[in-house]
Amino acid sequence: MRHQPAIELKNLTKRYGKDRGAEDISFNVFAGEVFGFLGPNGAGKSTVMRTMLGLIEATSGSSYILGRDSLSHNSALLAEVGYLPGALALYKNLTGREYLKYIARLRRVNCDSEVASLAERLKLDLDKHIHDLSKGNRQKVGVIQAFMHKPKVLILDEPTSGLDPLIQREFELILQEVKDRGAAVLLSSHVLSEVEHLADRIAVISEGKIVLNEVVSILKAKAPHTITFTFSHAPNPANYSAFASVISLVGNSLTCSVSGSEASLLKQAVSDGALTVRTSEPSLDQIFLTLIDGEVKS
Amino acid sequence: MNLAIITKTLRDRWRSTLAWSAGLLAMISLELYIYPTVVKSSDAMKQYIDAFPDALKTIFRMEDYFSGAGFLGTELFSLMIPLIFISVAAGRGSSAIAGEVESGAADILFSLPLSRRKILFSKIFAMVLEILFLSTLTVITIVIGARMVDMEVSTAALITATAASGLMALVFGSIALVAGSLTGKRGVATGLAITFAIAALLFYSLAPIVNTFDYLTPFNPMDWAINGNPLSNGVSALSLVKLALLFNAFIAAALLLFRKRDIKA
Repeated sequence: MRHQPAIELKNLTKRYGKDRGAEDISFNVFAGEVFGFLGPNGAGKSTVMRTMLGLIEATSGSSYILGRDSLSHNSALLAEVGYLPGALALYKNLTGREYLKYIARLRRVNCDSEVASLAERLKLDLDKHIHDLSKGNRQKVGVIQAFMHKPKVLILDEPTSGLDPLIQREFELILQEVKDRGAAVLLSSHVLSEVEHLADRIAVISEGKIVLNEVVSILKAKAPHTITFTFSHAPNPANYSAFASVISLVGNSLTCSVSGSEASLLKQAVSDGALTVRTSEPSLDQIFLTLIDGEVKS
Repeated sequence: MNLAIITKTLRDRWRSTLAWSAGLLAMISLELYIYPTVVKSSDAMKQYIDAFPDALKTIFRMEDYFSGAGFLGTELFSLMIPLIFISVAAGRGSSAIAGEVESGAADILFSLPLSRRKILFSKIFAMVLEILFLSTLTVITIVIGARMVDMEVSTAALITATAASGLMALVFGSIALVAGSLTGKRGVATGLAITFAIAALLFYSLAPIVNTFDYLTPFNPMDWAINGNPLSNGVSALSLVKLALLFNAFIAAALLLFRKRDIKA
């Protein structure tokens, strides 16, 4: 039984002059859920997030966070939100510790112990000046800034950008804990593979519009699988086109793409004397590219 | 207002404030140092100054060059001190919001549980504090220095003259603030404020010798603040009120225009 969504976007639209920004964006994110917001660079992900936070004014539509209108400034609401911008910029003249202390002061909270713990887990030296930090280390400061006050809602724009794989893994663990605590997380990325195991649901945005909003497991089940058979002799591809789309026939190897049931395809392959079968799990990247491609063509 | 923003804003600028203070101190000291020489050679100086074209004497308001108030009025308060104050205020006003936007730090700042009004007011307060500091430094330096060189200046007149220059600087600082909040560009904001200041100065300087722009004089904050040698004659309360009102009007404009303004990414 699900309660009121923690984030609720209804037909949110932001237009910049004649340029498109984001058009008719609607989705919900529930407490304890990570929602992956995916799309290529410039698709409008950041625009949606910045509009939700009132940094830019919505052209139309509505955005509710924790049941409250988030389009106009609401300090009580923002106290419950953590935000990591995509184009992260910090005060370079401060050390990481000074920066985080400053943000905590502006939030009127004391986050010293949480900051220390997050910094240790992400392996960040808090006493270095931000101008001396690498891009990845600056990103860690940004991440801590978003998480340190234990917000109920997290809006993270490309949070793993610049983080090395080990730290990304730690970030995933932190995210899992936040999720277990019951926070709602909206997380954007242009790299699907990294969101694949983080998000419960994903929405894909392309050219300012949502082209897909689906539970990850269902999406994967629906997606076409690629199957490669090897035969002792070259088969006739025409025998297979009724069950699947034939991608290639190279020597004695036939590669097909199939959605839904594979039974008929397997039966045909066995009757043709298939020697080996290799199935590849579709990555979200493939699904994503197919979707984006379809969107562009239409 | 938010104390953390005010202290951070002031802290970020302490080097610049220190440099402006040192410059101001050096300039005032130098003027005070040469004053006894000017008085001693007043006959020769008088002849020298009498030979100046009338227009030049008028532009620099050199009617009464040998009294303490006349000397400081001409040397410091007719141009240099107002310009220094304006430069500082325009710089601070332009970076108040545009500095945050240009650096990209604004995205986090404006997503915090702090209203834009509060952030804006804190930045304005920091700008006012800085001008207040430079004004106090000016008054104290002149009061002490004048004693050392036997110069007669009314402290009350000195305070009001400095206050008038400070307030006028804040007017141009608030113009920079409005422009910076609207455009998110520091260069544009500083440029605009300085352009207005130079135009105001130009109209003020030319007013006594050219009649074409007479209708503008009653609206010129430069005229309100520095006309009629405020060091000798003081500044009218009306002028101070007008400066304060104009400053407040620009702040109100900044608040209103920035309330719903998109923060540039």
